[in-house]
Amino acid sequence: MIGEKKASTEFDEKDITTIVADDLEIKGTIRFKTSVMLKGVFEGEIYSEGLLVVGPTARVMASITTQTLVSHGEITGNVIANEQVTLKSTSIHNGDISTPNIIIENGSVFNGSCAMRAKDITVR
Amino acid sequence: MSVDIPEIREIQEGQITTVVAEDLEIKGSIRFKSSVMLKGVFEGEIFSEGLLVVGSTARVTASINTKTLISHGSITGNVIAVEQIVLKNSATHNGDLNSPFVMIENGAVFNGSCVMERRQSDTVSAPPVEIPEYTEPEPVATEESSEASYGSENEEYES
Repeated sequence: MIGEKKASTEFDEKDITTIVADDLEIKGTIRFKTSVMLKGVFEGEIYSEGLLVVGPTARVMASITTQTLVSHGEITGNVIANEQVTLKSTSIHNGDISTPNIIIENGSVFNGSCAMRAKDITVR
Repeated sequence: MSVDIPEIREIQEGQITTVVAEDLEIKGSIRFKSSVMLKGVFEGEIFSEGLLVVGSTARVTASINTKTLISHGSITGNVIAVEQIVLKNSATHNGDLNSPFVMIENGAVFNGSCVMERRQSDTVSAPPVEIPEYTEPEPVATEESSEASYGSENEEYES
């Protein structure tokens, strides 16, 4: 039932294709396929087929569709992740989450609802 | 935001006051103060001022009020935990969570909403209303004592 989980949510900053620094503010829509790390302020929509990392300094107000989300920062908005969502201990999440795998670390704040329907279908 | 994050306690079965085994089915409500581990089927209500552990074999359909919840099993229902909720990797939870600290491990299934209100405003909130202390009415002074007190008051006043 619990099979191929993602081995680890740790990653190197160098492995990430785009890093948006903490002094940059973006409003609008972003789309990407590999990986992006947001450290600044973002408002709008995110469509991704890869990894989205929200840094500890980031403030994101967005509706997010991604493969994987790792959040250390503050997100307001709904998230759909096809693979996994990880809320690290420093993260604050206000909004709904829909994903088959979720990890919420001790210390993080999550206000919203969580739907993990995919797994129910695959059970036995 | 600095908050004291409660430690995740690894639970030894021996430390738990009551362990309800797999073959026991309970319908109704339970109330306890220290710690209970459910391994069987439970349906109803749980009120606790302590630790509730739901074992991996357990199937719990209940509304739960507790201090701490650690779940390895399957819970259907809403949970209010004053201190912390931990959903372990084998846990399935269908229902809402309300607790200042929630931890969900990789592999756990959670369908429902989650509210995490940290009571930071507690220190800012208005101070409690002061209740004026009830003072006993002073006994009627005798002539002698009233004179004495009068004199002493005068002395104080002059100096």
